[in-house]
Amino acid sequence: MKNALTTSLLLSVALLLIPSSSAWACATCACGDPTLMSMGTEQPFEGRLRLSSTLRGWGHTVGQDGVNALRLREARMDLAVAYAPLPWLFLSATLPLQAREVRDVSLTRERGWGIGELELTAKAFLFRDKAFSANHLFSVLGGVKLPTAPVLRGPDGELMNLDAQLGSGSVDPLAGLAYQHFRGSWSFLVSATGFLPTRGLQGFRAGASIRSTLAAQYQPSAKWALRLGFDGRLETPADVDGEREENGGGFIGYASPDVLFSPGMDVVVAAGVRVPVINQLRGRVSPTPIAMLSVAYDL
Amino acid sequence: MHPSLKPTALLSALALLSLTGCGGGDLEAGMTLDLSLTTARARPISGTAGPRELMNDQGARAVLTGGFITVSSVELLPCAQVGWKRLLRHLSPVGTAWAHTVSNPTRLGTPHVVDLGGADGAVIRLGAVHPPPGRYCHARLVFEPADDDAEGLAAAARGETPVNMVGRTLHLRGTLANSRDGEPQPFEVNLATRASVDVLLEWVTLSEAEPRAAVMFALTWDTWLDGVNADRPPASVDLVGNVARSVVPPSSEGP
Repeated sequence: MKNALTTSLLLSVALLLIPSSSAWACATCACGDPTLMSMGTEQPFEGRLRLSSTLRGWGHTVGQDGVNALRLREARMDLAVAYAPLPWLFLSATLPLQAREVRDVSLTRERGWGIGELELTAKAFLFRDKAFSANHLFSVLGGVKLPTAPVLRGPDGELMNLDAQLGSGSVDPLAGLAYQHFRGSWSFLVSATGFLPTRGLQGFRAGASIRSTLAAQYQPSAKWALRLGFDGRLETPADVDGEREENGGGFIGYASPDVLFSPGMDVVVAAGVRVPVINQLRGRVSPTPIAMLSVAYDL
Repeated sequence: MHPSLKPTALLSALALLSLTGCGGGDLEAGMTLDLSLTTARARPISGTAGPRELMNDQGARAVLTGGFITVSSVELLPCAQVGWKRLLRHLSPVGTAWAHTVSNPTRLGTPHVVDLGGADGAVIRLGAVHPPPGRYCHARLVFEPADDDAEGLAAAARGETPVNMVGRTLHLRGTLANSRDGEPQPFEVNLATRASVDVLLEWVTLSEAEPRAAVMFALTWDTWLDGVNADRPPASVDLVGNVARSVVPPSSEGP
């Protein structure tokens, strides 16, 4: 309940901060760039307000089949709002709704569902070569993930397994930087974001990580685009009260093809998949591909 | 901004959504094997004998007035893992640190200090393991010195004769007469050695249709002093090995 109140309070504050002044009717017209952009990679202009919803399905298996394997599957919907109060500043809030199931080797199943952990970020565009229709954008990102997910308990009142919880219950700061280049039908993105998790539920602390994206997008028409990226995550092992987890930590890389489609003005639909192509995680961690579908709408 | 869509309304909806606050969870239990211990006699003895009076294989008579044994782990062995795989495991180095052995789905790694007690029949619950579905032919019981957070330590330290079992595998005390007519002499022995035993489980099967079972091992305490005689006092005999060998295969049963 405390977490819910925290979330509500933060959202209310965000709500109060957003002015109700009108903005451009056409987002791509306003920034002078017709590139279809998925949530989080859009160009800013003063007053830009963007809503999005992203559905994801993913999972992984940790441990050895038939011995100690633990299988996790999750479906989540991220609801996000991003607002640019200044031409160089984007503020955003993302709240996931999650449902996950953990099944261990004994076929014990734990299921958890509810709101996840709210992420608040501010992205400042420190450099752009032109005020309108920029070709080069350099930005820095700062933010925090807050422990807004409820702590889940089983029918007997016992805390559910950490993997069945919807979040780590910790306050996790993050910071990153990104460079975007726009050249005709092509656009490119390079970004890296570091996460420094603190200790949360049941003494658990996720490993510090750097997540990077390298992507190129080709847009043959105003209506649709193809994007191919490589997402990498380099992380230190997680620990519970200082005792290092046997599995996890290391590097994993995903090939990330997406299709972006604009069915109408200011609406971008993206569908894609993240396929693990490099798995250098310690121990036995076997991730599934991640399926993704998102809709973003400029108000 | 689109005039018909007020951001405030959308954010309010989001705020309301978060106010629902909520989340839930449920749990569906999988395979569970409950493990417990009891004590029993292996050999008959005359009706006039006391509840903890015994005659060992050397003809020595003893009365045990107190005893504690540390069970450090119980591990299930799938039927396929007996034979050469088991041999390989035996050849691998075995840790002897006085710490919790690691628990996993087939191993209960929480050490228990088990009180011999004054009479047979009491059931001492060790815990439960949650193994994969399958058939288990053997269980490996390991007896090792207790670490400082073994279960049952406090009870041992609270008894009429307090015993600190930290660092000890076996504590045994009582009286011992090396012949039928000999004068009973008090004895007390504390050992920190290690022993293990593989016990037949008579096909314990766990499946989705039958996800729960229980097994109860019996310690036949009247064999613990086997090998003790006038020339070999208790401290010079592998009593921990005797304890390991005294484990009687359990009969498996449903919950």
